[in-house]
Amino acid sequence: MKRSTLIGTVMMLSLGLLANQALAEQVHSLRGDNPLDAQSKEPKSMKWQDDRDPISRDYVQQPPLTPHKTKGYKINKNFNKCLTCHSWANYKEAGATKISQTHFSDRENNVLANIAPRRYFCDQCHVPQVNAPPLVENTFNPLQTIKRH
Amino acid sequence: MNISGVIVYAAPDQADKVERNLVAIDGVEVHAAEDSKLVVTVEHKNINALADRVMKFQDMAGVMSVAMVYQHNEDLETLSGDEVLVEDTSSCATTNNCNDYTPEGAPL
Amino acid sequence: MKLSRRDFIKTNAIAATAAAAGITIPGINTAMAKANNKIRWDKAACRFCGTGCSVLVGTKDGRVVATQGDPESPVNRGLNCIKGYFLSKIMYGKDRLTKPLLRMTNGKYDKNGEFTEVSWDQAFDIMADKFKTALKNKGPTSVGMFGSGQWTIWEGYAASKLLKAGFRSNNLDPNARHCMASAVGAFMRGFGSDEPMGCYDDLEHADAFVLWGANMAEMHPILWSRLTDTRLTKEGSEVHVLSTFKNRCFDLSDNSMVFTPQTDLAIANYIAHYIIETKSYNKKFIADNVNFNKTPTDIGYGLRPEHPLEKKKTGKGGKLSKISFEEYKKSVAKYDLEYTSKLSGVPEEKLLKLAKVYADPKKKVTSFWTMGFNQHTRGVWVNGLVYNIHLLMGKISEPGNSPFSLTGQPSACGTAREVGTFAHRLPADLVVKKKAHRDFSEKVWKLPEGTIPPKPGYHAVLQNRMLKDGKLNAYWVMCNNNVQAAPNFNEETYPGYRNPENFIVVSDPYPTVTAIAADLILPAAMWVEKEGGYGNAERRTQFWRQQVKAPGEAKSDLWQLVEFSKRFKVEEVWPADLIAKKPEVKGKTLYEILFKNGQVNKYPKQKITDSAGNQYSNDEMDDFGFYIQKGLFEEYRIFGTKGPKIGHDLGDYDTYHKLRGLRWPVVNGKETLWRYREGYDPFVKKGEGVKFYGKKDGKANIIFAPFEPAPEMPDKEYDLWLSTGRVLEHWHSGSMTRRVPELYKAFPDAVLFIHPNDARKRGLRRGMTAKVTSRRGDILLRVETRGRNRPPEGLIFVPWFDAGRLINKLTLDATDPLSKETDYKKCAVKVEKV
Repeated sequence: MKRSTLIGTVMMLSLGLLANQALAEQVHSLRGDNPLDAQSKEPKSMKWQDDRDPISRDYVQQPPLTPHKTKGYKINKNFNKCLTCHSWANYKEAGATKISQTHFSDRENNVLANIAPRRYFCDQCHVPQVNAPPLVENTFNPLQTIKRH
Repeated sequence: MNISGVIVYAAPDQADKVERNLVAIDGVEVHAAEDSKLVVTVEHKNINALADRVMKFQDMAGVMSVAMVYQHNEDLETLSGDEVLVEDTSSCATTNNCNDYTPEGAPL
Repeated sequence: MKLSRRDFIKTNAIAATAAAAGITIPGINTAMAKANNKIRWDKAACRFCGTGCSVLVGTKDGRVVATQGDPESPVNRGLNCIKGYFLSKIMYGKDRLTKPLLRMTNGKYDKNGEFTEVSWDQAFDIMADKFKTALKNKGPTSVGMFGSGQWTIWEGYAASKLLKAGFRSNNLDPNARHCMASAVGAFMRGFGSDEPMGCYDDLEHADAFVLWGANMAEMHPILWSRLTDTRLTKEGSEVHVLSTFKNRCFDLSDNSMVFTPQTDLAIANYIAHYIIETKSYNKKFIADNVNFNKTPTDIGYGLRPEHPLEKKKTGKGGKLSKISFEEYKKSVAKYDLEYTSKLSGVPEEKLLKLAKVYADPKKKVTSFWTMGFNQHTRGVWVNGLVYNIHLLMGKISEPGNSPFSLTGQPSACGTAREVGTFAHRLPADLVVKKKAHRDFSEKVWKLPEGTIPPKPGYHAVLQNRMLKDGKLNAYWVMCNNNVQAAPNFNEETYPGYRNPENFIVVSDPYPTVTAIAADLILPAAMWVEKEGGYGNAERRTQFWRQQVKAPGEAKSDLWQLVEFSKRFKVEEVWPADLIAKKPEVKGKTLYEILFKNGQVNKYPKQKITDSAGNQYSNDEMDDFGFYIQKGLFEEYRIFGTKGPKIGHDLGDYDTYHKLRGLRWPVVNGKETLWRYREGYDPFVKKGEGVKFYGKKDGKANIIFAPFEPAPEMPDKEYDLWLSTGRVLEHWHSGSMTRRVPELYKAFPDAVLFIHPNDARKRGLRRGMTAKVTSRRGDILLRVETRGRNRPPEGLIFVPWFDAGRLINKLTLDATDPLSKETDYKKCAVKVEKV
């Protein structure tokens, strides 16, 4: 494998400064400083966040992130583990967040007695988070008035 | 100070009773009622107490469901004094356009 | 009017609540309206998959502050998947590119230099110089471009004009080659017109769904939610899932089938055999609407010609020959239940259950497929084999009966396919090979006869080979991440980018691995930083307005393409005899010939407003001085309304800004939901019933194709199949989704999905690091034995969104010889403990 180019590039950076040039900040892909043709770095060990209070949202329309582990949770046509805590029948006892009011209407806006089947697979929108810093900082600014818990 | 905007869905013939019970609660105001839907704001200095209060609406007689659609949290200190200029907006377009679309009822 | 801050906030609360409840409050209404206006909401098509959901984009003070599902959209009715809900953040990764960057040493371009900020002028200077040098020395085949199914419609169209007419090079191919080319090939062979006959309404009308190599639960979540809705509410409805490993779709499945890779060819033929054997086929439909054909076999695997497998092949190409029904019947007879079950590893009763659903005339069946079929060395064949089943039964072109090819990219249909940014295509299903098609295109474009070259250019995989071989020297990559996406990184991709003979330009919003491999990086505006239009998998064309400005000096792809065309005098790119055919072009620039041609610049600058009076920017209109997007689209539209191929009509530009899209053909302002059937399709006359008018005789082709093995199969040393794919939380190459912290943290790095027994045999446990090696390269991955994908023993699955571990160092650059699309689903690897 050829790795000369990019290693060379990294060396050039330190020399380039001496050459008194308007250099861009070193440009990295999401590989970081690992050259494209180098072996991938050892994958980091990451853990799912422990159970915690609801994670605040950046805007009201954002689906809440899952503030607990979901390992082994099953959702299939016969059983939905999430509903055992989050359904309107169970949330009080479980101390869980109740399913949103928005989840009770079908495509035609008919209000249903139970959670809308089109919203049945909770994990299409609600996902747990690992304990890790962002890969790249994001400069999105939430509006304080619509930031929500 | 924390302020929430809440839609309370009352049983069809019980909107009046629900409204009376709601306004009896400290910090709760009802601003409009139509088709058994009540537009309610709730204020409380403690955010957790506010959430509890809203949750309790659900258990009130005649209430079918509750949807919190707006919430604002701010320190009391920053609320004093400064004023916000709101222009006369009588010429504003109606709200039936996607550009004026207001957030749907958000999850509790 | 002055309000205290508390009153103001409370007013906001009341306003939002009342609006959500649909209640008008007199008196407070005006203040409310103002409060609502704090955020300006406008529609846009989602930036990610081919589903084409509509979203509402909330902006304030020039920044996107929120996004949500569009309640008015017929596609998604207010829903989004997790990616869609986080669209608001994709433009705000901190490492957005804001200035052109050129590799330089001591102030001069140097292929081995360091990326250095330059002005747009400097960037275009060196770029134009390199393109002109290549054109002069080696001619038009030495320049090329790799484009995108994520381009807006007019960006793809502008690129097509610049390359095919301006530079007279057909070396323009989109990354859609990697995902949709096999689907296109099968549509053209079977029906003579690209894209599905049905639409998403089939999701509510069908009784049974069959998923062939489509993990919709993760890849098309909103379509999956509609399918789930039907399955859970419609009595008697059922879901059949075929895949080479268990995935989330199996959670809803009534008939789960894990089959050995490549044997989908046999399974589809078995179903046809069953239908014929039980005499279930629709005799009248077949007699009226179908021709029977066979295709050449043993056609190789699209590898380099010197590869042993290519030398061994005995057949070539895809020229069809007509056969009788009896011959067809005989051809599929081999694929009986016993043989097929043994070959595929799927139990007989499951195959039988599947065959019965298709063969039941009372059951409406919709088949879905995506990359499992398309990324296949027999992709065109296997697409066609499912059409065979639907055609035998007449289960096609009506609500609920639908063979449905889904797409991966947001405008794979609208831009790559409909605009025809492939190396062999022109807009509206026209091809460069046919003189009549070239003539028509040249007429629309007001160009002299013979401008467009007749020979198809280099397709995606061939472009990389030609870069490596030094035959393609000036190369522009736009709106894609092909160094991460293309197969066989070590042997075929990276060497060409770093070949000293070549100059590589990459336009992107972010420093992707492709950008890092380039010589010049151009910073691009993205998504709602420009006015745009996409076309989704159900033929729906959707537009959006520019909502915010791009950061720094980032410019849209459209601006880059058109501005670059100003750098070329026609004398520098066209031969004298061509110019002589149209002397008035003399001395003009490509910009003047292609874009200031009286058509594209026909619409003057105007204010962009919505129905509520909100104003929007259009940076390209400001820069060029005319409404360029509208001009390009209206010119492009001529191909559909007046072109040689009927049934490709689009609506006018302004209409799309008012609606949540329309499904083409759009005739007299009306969209078409099901094509080819009387009553639904305006091109089928009264009394014609069904007419596949893409073909001269109005008949579709049933095409027999046999099972043939994959080019590289597990053996003693490389003992596992490798299948690659995607996950719900990331799309494309992860260059946008991994910069959204919530999505990154939901699925941070690619993992190795492997059966626990296969892991144990190699001394591996969940969470350990494994080395995965093919004949072409190796990467390190963390072992996952209990995740959302559960491969059978003998197969591993690795998603490819992770730049940190490039799975395409392992994949084989074998393609479907007909569609030239890579098979990313099958090659042989070994897994070891590190």
